[in-house]
Amino acid sequence: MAEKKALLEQIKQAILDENEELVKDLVNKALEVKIPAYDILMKGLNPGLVAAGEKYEKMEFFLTDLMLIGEATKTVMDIIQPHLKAEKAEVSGKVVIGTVEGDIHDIGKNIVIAMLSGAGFEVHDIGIDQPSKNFVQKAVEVNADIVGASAILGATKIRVKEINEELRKAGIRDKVGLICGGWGFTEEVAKKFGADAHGEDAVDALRKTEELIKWLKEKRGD
Amino acid sequence: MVNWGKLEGAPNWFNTPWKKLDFRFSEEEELEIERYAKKIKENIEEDKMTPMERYNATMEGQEVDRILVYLAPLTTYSIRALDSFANAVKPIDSFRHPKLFLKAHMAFVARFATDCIDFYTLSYGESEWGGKAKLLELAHPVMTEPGVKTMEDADRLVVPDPRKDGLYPGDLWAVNKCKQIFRKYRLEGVVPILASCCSPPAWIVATCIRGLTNGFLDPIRNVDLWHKLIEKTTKFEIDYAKALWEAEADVVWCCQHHAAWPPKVFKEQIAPYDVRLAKEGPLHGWGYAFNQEKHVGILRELGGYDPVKWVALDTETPVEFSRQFTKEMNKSYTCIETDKTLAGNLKALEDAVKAHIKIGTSTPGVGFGMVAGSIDYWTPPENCDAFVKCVKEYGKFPIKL
Repeated sequence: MAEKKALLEQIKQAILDENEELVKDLVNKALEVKIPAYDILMKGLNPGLVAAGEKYEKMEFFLTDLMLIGEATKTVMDIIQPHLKAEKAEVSGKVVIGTVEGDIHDIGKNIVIAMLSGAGFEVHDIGIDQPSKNFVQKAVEVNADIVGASAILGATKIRVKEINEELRKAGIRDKVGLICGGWGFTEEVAKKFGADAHGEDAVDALRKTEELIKWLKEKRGD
Repeated sequence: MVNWGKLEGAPNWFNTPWKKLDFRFSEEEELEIERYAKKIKENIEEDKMTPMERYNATMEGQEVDRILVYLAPLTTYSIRALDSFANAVKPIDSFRHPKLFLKAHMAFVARFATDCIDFYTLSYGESEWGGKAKLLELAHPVMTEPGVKTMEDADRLVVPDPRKDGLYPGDLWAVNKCKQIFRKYRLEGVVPILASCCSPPAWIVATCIRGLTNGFLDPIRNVDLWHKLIEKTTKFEIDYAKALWEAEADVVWCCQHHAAWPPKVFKEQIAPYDVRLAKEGPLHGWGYAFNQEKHVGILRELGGYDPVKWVALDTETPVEFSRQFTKEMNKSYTCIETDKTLAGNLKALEDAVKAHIKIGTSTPGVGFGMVAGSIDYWTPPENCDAFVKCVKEYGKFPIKL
């Protein structure tokens, strides 16, 4: 038991050390000794991501640190995803995320995906330069709780307004939370475009997504 | 040699030396330009100082009648001045048509009555460094596929010449044409012409050569390749700055955005190249963005601020720090109000401007100006009006805040 706990702690530290190879080895070892994938996620990976987020907010970690941690997180998720499915692990929520039409930037989005995955969300990444309809189509397909739109290029932020409208046309706007992010977005502009929330950065995006899920569940009476 | 990349949607003058560009104005356009020039003159008639006098005095920390104020709209926002903010004429039109680019900037200054005209670059080099790129309707061009994947590619990469490659000539043509127009209408030496040679060497590698993900991570895990490339982009940037001076810009500046990297990486892999650009360009000013206190401290330590007259730190850097930092270096400090505050509600904008003026002018003998940069596309023009009006009203000396 103590050994398993130590192994999970090592996973957390390997994430913080941005050591993708070591994380991979430790996760495989953890699965071998029958640590449930959900525990690897929530007691190994997630604490590492939370700690990384805290360091980022204190300006001890920088964007490149989060990028490297994001890559390590993706490696972990690729390994444990089949095991999570087999365990029928609880999912924090379903998120569809993409970069809006006309914008090809994805660094921030990929870090957000890492943070969300590490927090137990099922994330569907539709990619970059995505027409607004595609966000909604995927949301309907997977029965998403949240749609996340990334837009960095100034003028493309207005696509969030389109996504909001498409969600309305599809009749699911009251069932789905809309969150957006990207350099230069403010809470005020996000709300003006119809979003429910705006993530200042990846750490904030996770926080706001969790708040949105809670709000949606209360609204649905879950 | 790595083949030059392709720019999807490139105009027919792409890759034409700027001195061979022969864009002519029709009679109606000549009239239009004359009207802009006259309006610009009218706007400044009542002031005690000309904008150029105010600019120079601000740089030297001397007395001014009021705080210097201007908007740095980038190509994506300035175009909106041409169609009364109807969203009819698009940013892509400005990138493809240097006459529109020039007229948009003149119309912008005429409309908002600001102190300087500020030409932002048409290209960061998206297709000049071997990659594939495309023009976007509403934004700056983007690289879609990097051209450099290996050290061998990097070895073969030829440094572009801004005087003749890609979209750069359009930029140089516009700056020079503006100087000619100003000369004709006696605005030369009256209204400063600013021109940027953005982006800084590290960002060209990330955004135009290696792609953002590789570009950001190369200084950490692919250091040899990184240095090979940043040497070339530094050489280019210095040359671009020189080309802008040749095109008769009054001020050449460049942006910085380095907080993506930890300070140690910034100090060893990036900052020394910025220092070279500042010294050899030379640069008149360092623009803002994405810096943190540790990074600007490093650049200062290495002498990166020695050659410049002004430093603009974004408003995510605490204003008190910015003022103290520039005061210690005896540099003029221009506060950039990012799109965040400018696009917000007018009361918050006014409060923010007043707060910045109070702190910015707290150090007599060290210059201070107010600039709003990277204005986001949807920013209502009323907000730009409010910003300028607020600075002119509360920024009159003696400051009474």
